[in-house]
Amino acid sequence: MSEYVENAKFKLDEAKYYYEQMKVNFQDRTKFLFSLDAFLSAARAVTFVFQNARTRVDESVMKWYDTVTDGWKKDKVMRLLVEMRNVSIKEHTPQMQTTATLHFGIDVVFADSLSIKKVSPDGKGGERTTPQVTAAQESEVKPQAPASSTVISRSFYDLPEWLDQDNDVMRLCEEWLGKLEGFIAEAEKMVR
Amino acid sequence: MNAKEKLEEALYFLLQMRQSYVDRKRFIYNMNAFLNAARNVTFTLQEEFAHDSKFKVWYPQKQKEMKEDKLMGFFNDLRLISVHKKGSQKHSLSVKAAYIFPKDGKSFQASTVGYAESKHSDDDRVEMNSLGLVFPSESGGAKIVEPVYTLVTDWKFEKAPEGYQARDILALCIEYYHKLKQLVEEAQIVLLKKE
Repeated sequence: MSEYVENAKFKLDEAKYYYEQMKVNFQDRTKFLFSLDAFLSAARAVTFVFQNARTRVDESVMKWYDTVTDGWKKDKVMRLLVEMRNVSIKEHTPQMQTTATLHFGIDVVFADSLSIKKVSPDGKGGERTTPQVTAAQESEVKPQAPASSTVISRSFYDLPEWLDQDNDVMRLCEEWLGKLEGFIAEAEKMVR
Repeated sequence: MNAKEKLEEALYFLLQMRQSYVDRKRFIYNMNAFLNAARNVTFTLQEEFAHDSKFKVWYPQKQKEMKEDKLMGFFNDLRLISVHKKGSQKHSLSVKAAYIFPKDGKSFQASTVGYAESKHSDDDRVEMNSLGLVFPSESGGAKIVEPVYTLVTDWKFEKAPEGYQARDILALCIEYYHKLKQLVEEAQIVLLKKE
Protein backbone atom coordinates (compact mmCIF):
# COMPACT_ATOMS: atom_id res chain seq x y z
CA MET A 1 0.00 0.00 0.00
CA SER A 2 1.19 3.56 -0.72
CA GLU A 3 2.99 5.32 2.08
CA TYR A 4 0.55 8.25 2.19
CA VAL A 5 -2.47 5.91 2.49
CA GLU A 6 -0.69 4.06 5.31
CA ASN A 7 -0.03 7.39 7.02
CA ALA A 8 -3.61 8.59 6.55
CA LYS A 9 -4.81 5.25 7.95
CA PHE A 10 -2.55 5.72 10.97
CA LYS A 11 -4.17 9.11 11.59
CA LEU A 12 -7.63 7.55 11.25
CA ASP A 13 -6.68 4.91 13.85
CA GLU A 14 -5.44 7.73 16.08
CA ALA A 15 -8.80 9.53 15.69
CA LYS A 16 -10.64 6.28 16.52
CA TYR A 17 -8.49 5.85 19.63
CA TYR A 18 -9.40 9.35 20.86
CA TYR A 19 -13.08 8.80 20.06
CA GLU A 20 -12.90 5.78 22.39
CA GLN A 21 -11.14 7.97 25.00
CA MET A 22 -14.01 10.48 24.71
CA LYS A 23 -16.42 7.65 25.55
CA VAL A 24 -14.27 6.45 28.46
CA ASN A 25 -13.92 10.01 29.85
CA PHE A 26 -17.48 11.13 29.12
CA GLN A 27 -18.23 11.89 32.78
CA ASP A 28 -14.98 13.82 33.34
CA ARG A 29 -15.27 17.25 31.68
CA THR A 30 -11.53 18.05 31.53
CA LYS A 31 -10.37 14.68 30.21
CA PHE A 32 -13.29 14.62 27.77
CA LEU A 33 -12.27 18.00 26.31
CA PHE A 34 -8.59 16.99 26.07
CA SER A 35 -9.62 13.83 24.20
CA LEU A 36 -11.90 15.87 21.92
CA ASP A 37 -8.99 18.20 21.02
CA ALA A 38 -6.78 15.21 20.19
CA PHE A 39 -9.64 13.66 18.17
CA LEU A 40 -10.17 16.84 16.13
CA SER A 41 -6.46 17.15 15.40
CA ALA A 42 -6.07 13.51 14.29
CA ALA A 43 -9.31 13.46 12.25
CA ARG A 44 -8.39 16.65 10.43
CA ALA A 45 -4.91 15.31 9.64
CA VAL A 46 -6.33 12.35 7.66
CA THR A 47 -6.82 14.55 4.59
CA PHE A 48 -3.78 16.77 5.29
CA VAL A 49 -1.64 13.70 4.63
CA PHE A 50 -3.13 13.45 1.13
CA GLN A 51 -2.85 17.18 0.44
CA ASN A 52 0.82 17.20 1.29
CA ALA A 53 1.57 14.13 -0.78
CA ARG A 54 -0.10 15.72 -3.85
CA THR A 55 3.10 15.89 -5.92
CA ARG A 56 3.90 12.20 -5.29
CA VAL A 57 0.39 10.83 -5.76
CA ASP A 58 -1.01 9.39 -8.97
CA GLU A 59 -3.09 11.95 -10.88
CA SER A 60 -6.23 9.80 -10.96
CA VAL A 61 -6.10 9.38 -7.18
CA MET A 62 -5.77 13.14 -6.65
CA LYS A 63 -8.67 13.75 -9.03
CA TRP A 64 -10.79 11.41 -6.93
CA TYR A 65 -9.53 13.11 -3.74
CA ASP A 66 -10.50 16.57 -5.08
CA THR A 67 -14.00 15.36 -6.00
CA VAL A 68 -14.55 13.84 -2.54
CA THR A 69 -13.23 16.85 -0.62
CA ASP A 70 -15.18 19.29 -2.85
CA GLY A 71 -18.31 17.39 -1.81
CA TRP A 72 -17.28 17.74 1.83
CA LYS A 73 -17.17 21.53 1.47
CA LYS A 74 -20.96 21.40 1.08
CA ASP A 75 -21.33 18.83 3.86
CA LYS A 76 -22.27 20.70 7.04
CA VAL A 77 -20.94 18.02 9.36
CA MET A 78 -17.53 17.95 7.66
CA ARG A 79 -17.38 21.76 7.60
CA LEU A 80 -18.07 21.79 11.32
CA LEU A 81 -15.13 19.43 11.95
CA VAL A 82 -12.77 21.83 10.17
CA GLU A 83 -14.21 24.83 12.00
CA MET A 84 -14.03 23.23 15.45
CA ARG A 85 -10.47 22.08 14.87
CA ASN A 86 -9.49 25.66 13.91
CA VAL A 87 -11.13 26.99 17.07
CA SER A 88 -9.27 24.35 19.08
CA ILE A 89 -5.89 25.37 17.63
CA LYS A 90 -6.10 29.12 17.53
CA GLU A 91 -8.48 30.01 20.33
CA HIS A 92 -9.53 27.45 22.91
CA THR A 93 -11.02 24.01 23.33
CA PRO A 94 -14.53 24.08 21.73
CA GLN A 95 -17.10 25.19 24.25
CA MET A 96 -19.66 22.69 25.42
CA GLN A 97 -23.20 22.65 26.62
CA THR A 98 -23.69 19.79 29.03
CA THR A 99 -26.92 18.10 30.04
CA ALA A 100 -26.77 16.22 33.32
CA THR A 101 -29.14 14.64 35.79
CA LEU A 102 -28.62 15.71 39.36
CA HIS A 103 -29.53 13.42 42.26
CA PHE A 104 -30.64 15.25 45.41
CA GLY A 105 -31.28 14.11 48.93
CA ILE A 106 -33.79 16.29 50.81
CA ASP A 107 -34.15 16.64 54.55
CA VAL A 108 -37.68 17.70 55.50
CA VAL A 109 -38.13 19.53 58.80
CA PHE A 110 -41.58 20.27 60.17
CA ALA A 111 -41.74 23.38 62.28
CA ASP A 112 -44.59 22.00 64.38
CA SER A 113 -44.95 18.63 66.00
CA LEU A 114 -46.38 15.99 63.72
CA SER A 115 -48.65 13.06 64.51
CA ILE A 116 -48.37 9.96 62.37
CA LYS A 117 -51.15 7.36 62.63
CA LYS A 118 -50.54 3.86 61.34
CA VAL A 119 -53.57 1.96 60.13
CA SER A 120 -53.12 -1.78 59.52
CA PRO A 121 -55.64 -4.16 57.84
CA ASP A 122 -55.60 -6.35 60.94
CA GLY A 123 -57.01 -3.49 62.94
CA LYS A 124 -53.84 -3.02 64.95
CA GLY A 125 -52.61 0.50 64.69
CA GLY A 126 -50.41 2.96 66.40
CA GLU A 127 -49.81 6.60 66.70
CA ARG A 128 -46.55 8.51 67.06
CA THR A 129 -46.03 12.17 67.64
CA THR A 130 -42.71 13.78 66.76
CA PRO A 131 -41.34 16.38 69.17
CA GLN A 132 -41.58 20.01 68.12
CA VAL A 133 -38.44 21.35 66.42
CA THR A 134 -36.53 23.86 68.47
CA ALA A 135 -35.19 27.10 66.98
CA ALA A 136 -31.63 25.77 67.34
CA GLN A 137 -32.47 22.60 65.37
CA GLU A 138 -34.21 24.66 62.69
CA SER A 139 -31.12 26.83 62.16
CA GLU A 140 -28.99 23.71 61.64
CA VAL A 141 -30.90 22.75 58.51
CA LYS A 142 -28.84 23.68 55.46
CA PRO A 143 -29.66 23.28 51.79
CA GLN A 144 -27.96 20.17 50.44
CA ALA A 145 -25.62 20.03 47.47
CA PRO A 146 -26.49 17.43 44.81
CA ALA A 147 -25.33 14.03 46.03
CA SER A 148 -24.22 13.04 42.52
CA SER A 149 -24.65 13.98 38.88
CA THR A 150 -24.54 12.06 35.62
CA VAL A 151 -23.72 13.70 32.30
CA ILE A 152 -26.24 12.63 29.67
CA SER A 153 -25.08 14.60 26.66
CA ARG A 154 -22.48 17.10 25.51
CA SER A 155 -23.17 19.49 22.65
CA PHE A 156 -21.12 22.16 20.88
CA TYR A 157 -22.06 25.58 22.19
CA ASP A 158 -20.63 28.21 19.82
CA LEU A 159 -22.11 26.99 16.60
CA PRO A 160 -22.01 28.56 13.15
CA GLU A 161 -25.38 29.89 11.98
CA TRP A 162 -25.52 27.51 9.02
CA LEU A 163 -25.61 24.40 11.22
CA ASP A 164 -29.24 23.37 11.40
CA GLN A 165 -28.98 19.90 12.92
CA ASP A 166 -28.45 18.01 16.14
CA ASN A 167 -25.12 19.17 17.59
CA ASP A 168 -24.49 16.30 19.99
CA VAL A 169 -20.67 15.92 20.09
CA MET A 170 -20.55 12.12 20.19
CA ARG A 171 -23.01 11.79 17.30
CA LEU A 172 -21.09 14.30 15.17
CA CYS A 173 -17.73 12.67 15.90
CA GLU A 174 -19.15 9.26 15.03
CA GLU A 175 -20.44 10.66 11.74
CA TRP A 176 -17.02 12.22 10.98
CA LEU A 177 -15.33 8.92 11.70
CA GLY A 178 -17.75 7.04 9.46
CA LYS A 179 -17.05 9.40 6.56
CA LEU A 180 -13.28 9.25 7.07
CA GLU A 181 -13.39 5.44 7.27
CA GLY A 182 -15.28 5.33 3.97
CA PHE A 183 -12.73 7.71 2.48
CA ILE A 184 -9.76 5.56 3.53
CA ALA A 185 -11.46 2.32 2.40
CA GLU A 186 -12.01 3.90 -1.03
CA ALA A 187 -8.41 5.18 -1.14
CA GLU A 188 -7.08 1.70 -0.31
CA LYS A 189 -9.06 0.23 -3.20
CA MET A 190 -7.73 2.88 -5.59
CA VAL A 191 -4.06 2.34 -4.83
CA ARG A 192 -4.24 -1.45 -4.56
CA MET B 1 -5.72 32.39 30.47
CA ASN B 2 -6.29 30.06 27.48
CA ALA B 3 -2.55 29.34 27.12
CA LYS B 4 -2.49 27.99 30.67
CA GLU B 5 -5.33 25.60 29.82
CA LYS B 6 -3.42 24.37 26.77
CA LEU B 7 -0.38 23.86 28.97
CA GLU B 8 -2.47 21.70 31.32
CA GLU B 9 -3.64 19.71 28.31
CA ALA B 10 0.00 19.21 27.24
CA LEU B 11 0.85 17.98 30.75
CA TYR B 12 -2.07 15.55 30.67
CA PHE B 13 -0.80 13.98 27.43
CA LEU B 14 2.78 13.98 28.73
CA LEU B 15 1.59 11.85 31.65
CA GLN B 16 -0.32 9.63 29.22
CA MET B 17 2.92 9.18 27.23
CA ARG B 18 4.67 8.03 30.40
CA GLN B 19 1.87 5.56 31.12
CA SER B 20 1.81 4.16 27.58
CA TYR B 21 5.60 4.07 27.04
CA VAL B 22 5.72 0.31 26.39
CA ASP B 23 2.86 0.38 23.89
CA ARG B 24 3.95 1.15 20.33
CA LYS B 25 0.73 2.73 19.04
CA ARG B 26 -0.69 4.42 22.13
CA PHE B 27 2.63 6.12 22.84
CA ILE B 28 2.69 7.71 19.37
CA TYR B 29 -0.99 8.75 19.63
CA ASN B 30 -0.28 10.40 22.98
CA MET B 31 2.88 12.03 21.66
CA ASN B 32 0.94 13.54 18.74
CA ALA B 33 -1.72 14.86 21.12
CA PHE B 34 1.05 16.27 23.35
CA LEU B 35 2.71 18.01 20.38
CA ASN B 36 -0.63 19.43 19.27
CA ALA B 37 -1.50 20.81 22.71
CA ALA B 38 2.04 22.08 23.33
CA ARG B 39 2.21 23.91 20.02
CA ASN B 40 -1.18 25.51 20.68
CA VAL B 41 0.19 27.13 23.84
CA THR B 42 1.93 29.86 21.82
CA PHE B 43 -0.92 30.07 19.25
CA THR B 44 -3.48 30.79 21.96
CA LEU B 45 -1.13 33.22 23.68
CA GLN B 46 -0.84 35.20 20.44
CA GLU B 47 -4.60 35.07 19.83
CA GLU B 48 -5.57 36.08 23.34
CA PHE B 49 -3.19 39.03 23.64
CA ALA B 50 -3.10 40.14 20.00
CA HIS B 51 -4.28 43.64 20.92
CA ASP B 52 -2.32 43.99 24.15
CA SER B 53 0.38 46.67 23.96
CA LYS B 54 2.57 44.92 26.58
CA PHE B 55 2.37 41.69 24.56
CA LYS B 56 3.49 43.49 21.40
CA VAL B 57 6.69 44.52 23.16
CA TRP B 58 7.32 41.32 25.10
CA TYR B 59 6.47 38.58 22.56
CA PRO B 60 8.80 39.45 19.61
CA GLN B 61 11.75 39.10 21.98
CA LYS B 62 10.42 35.72 23.17
CA GLN B 63 9.91 34.61 19.57
CA LYS B 64 13.54 35.46 18.84
CA GLU B 65 14.66 33.41 21.85
CA MET B 66 12.47 30.48 20.80
CA LYS B 67 13.87 30.51 17.28
CA GLU B 68 17.40 30.42 18.65
CA ASP B 69 16.51 27.56 21.00
CA LYS B 70 17.31 24.30 19.20
CA LEU B 71 14.84 22.23 21.19
CA MET B 72 11.91 24.65 20.70
CA GLY B 73 12.58 24.85 16.95
CA PHE B 74 12.84 21.07 16.73
CA PHE B 75 9.46 20.55 18.41
CA ASN B 76 7.77 23.14 16.27
CA ASP B 77 8.93 21.27 13.15
CA LEU B 78 7.77 17.99 14.66
CA ARG B 79 4.20 19.18 15.06
CA LEU B 80 4.15 20.28 11.42
CA ILE B 81 5.26 16.78 10.43
CA SER B 82 2.74 15.18 12.78
CA VAL B 83 -0.24 17.17 11.48
CA HIS B 84 0.58 17.95 7.88
CA LYS B 85 3.05 15.61 6.32
CA LYS B 86 3.15 12.17 7.88
CA GLY B 87 1.27 9.99 10.30
CA SER B 88 4.06 10.27 12.85
CA GLN B 89 7.63 11.50 13.22
CA LYS B 90 10.75 9.58 12.33
CA HIS B 91 11.81 7.72 15.40
CA SER B 92 13.47 4.50 16.42
CA LEU B 93 12.30 2.12 19.09
CA SER B 94 13.86 -0.74 20.99
CA VAL B 95 11.48 -3.65 21.47
CA LYS B 96 11.78 -6.49 23.94
CA ALA B 97 9.78 -9.55 22.91
CA ALA B 98 9.00 -12.62 25.03
CA TYR B 99 8.58 -16.07 23.47
CA ILE B 100 7.54 -19.49 24.68
CA PHE B 101 9.37 -22.16 22.70
CA PRO B 102 7.52 -25.46 22.78
CA LYS B 103 9.39 -28.67 23.57
CA ASP B 104 10.37 -30.29 20.26
CA GLY B 105 12.99 -32.80 21.41
CA LYS B 106 15.60 -31.13 19.18
CA SER B 107 16.24 -27.42 19.75
CA PHE B 108 14.26 -27.45 23.00
CA GLN B 109 14.29 -30.42 25.33
CA ALA B 110 11.62 -28.70 27.45
CA SER B 111 9.21 -25.83 27.01
CA THR B 112 11.40 -22.71 27.31
CA VAL B 113 10.80 -19.02 27.83
CA GLY B 114 13.14 -16.68 25.97
CA TYR B 115 13.52 -12.98 25.24
CA ALA B 116 14.90 -11.04 22.30
CA GLU B 117 15.63 -7.34 21.95
CA SER B 118 15.63 -5.55 18.63
CA LYS B 119 15.83 -2.01 17.33
CA HIS B 120 13.50 -0.66 14.65
CA SER B 121 12.77 2.45 12.65
CA ASP B 122 9.19 3.65 12.29
CA ASP B 123 9.52 2.78 8.58
CA ASP B 124 9.60 -0.89 9.63
CA ARG B 125 6.03 -0.58 10.95
CA VAL B 126 6.93 -3.23 13.47
CA GLU B 127 3.99 -5.43 14.49
CA MET B 128 3.81 -8.43 16.83
CA ASN B 129 3.62 -10.91 13.96
CA SER B 130 6.67 -9.40 12.26
CA LEU B 131 8.78 -10.33 15.31
CA GLY B 132 8.28 -14.05 14.95
CA LEU B 133 11.38 -16.28 15.20
CA VAL B 134 11.93 -18.99 12.61
CA PHE B 135 12.97 -22.55 13.61
CA PRO B 136 13.29 -25.77 11.62
CA SER B 137 10.16 -27.86 12.06
CA GLU B 138 10.05 -31.64 12.60
CA SER B 139 8.82 -32.10 9.03
CA GLY B 140 11.92 -30.33 7.70
CA GLY B 141 10.15 -27.05 6.91
CA ALA B 142 10.17 -23.90 9.00
CA LYS B 143 8.02 -23.02 11.97
CA ILE B 144 7.50 -19.54 13.32
CA VAL B 145 7.27 -18.82 17.02
CA GLU B 146 5.43 -15.54 17.55
CA PRO B 147 6.04 -13.44 20.69
CA VAL B 148 3.57 -13.77 23.55
CA TYR B 149 4.06 -10.08 24.31
CA THR B 150 6.22 -7.15 23.27
CA LEU B 151 7.33 -4.08 25.21
CA VAL B 152 8.96 -0.94 23.89
CA THR B 153 11.93 -0.23 26.14
CA ASP B 154 13.34 2.89 24.48
CA TRP B 155 12.03 5.62 22.17
CA LYS B 156 14.42 7.89 20.29
CA PHE B 157 13.95 10.58 17.65
CA GLU B 158 16.02 9.69 14.60
CA LYS B 159 17.11 13.28 14.17
CA ALA B 160 17.19 14.81 17.63
CA PRO B 161 18.82 18.25 17.79
CA GLU B 162 22.54 18.48 18.48
CA GLY B 163 23.33 17.90 22.13
CA TYR B 164 20.07 16.01 22.71
CA GLN B 165 20.71 12.77 20.77
CA ALA B 166 21.34 10.60 23.82
CA ARG B 167 18.01 11.42 25.44
CA ASP B 168 14.82 9.50 24.82
CA ILE B 169 11.61 11.04 23.44
CA LEU B 170 9.89 11.32 26.82
CA ALA B 171 12.83 13.20 28.36
CA LEU B 172 12.88 15.66 25.45
CA CYS B 173 9.12 16.22 25.68
CA ILE B 174 9.44 16.90 29.42
CA GLU B 175 12.15 19.49 28.76
CA TYR B 176 10.05 21.12 26.02
CA TYR B 177 7.04 21.22 28.37
CA HIS B 178 9.12 22.98 31.04
CA LYS B 179 10.28 25.61 28.57
CA LEU B 180 6.64 26.31 27.64
CA LYS B 181 5.67 26.42 31.31
CA GLN B 182 8.32 29.05 31.96
CA LEU B 183 7.03 31.07 28.99
CA VAL B 184 3.43 31.00 30.27
CA GLU B 185 4.51 31.88 33.82
CA GLU B 186 6.46 34.84 32.47
CA ALA B 187 3.45 35.87 30.33
CA GLN B 188 1.27 35.84 33.42
CA ILE B 189 3.68 38.11 35.27
CA VAL B 190 4.26 40.50 32.36
CA LEU B 191 0.78 40.63 30.84
CA LEU B 192 -1.57 40.19 33.76
CA LYS B 193 0.13 42.35 36.38
CA LYS B 194 -1.81 45.45 37.37
CA GLU B 195 -0.17 48.80 36.64
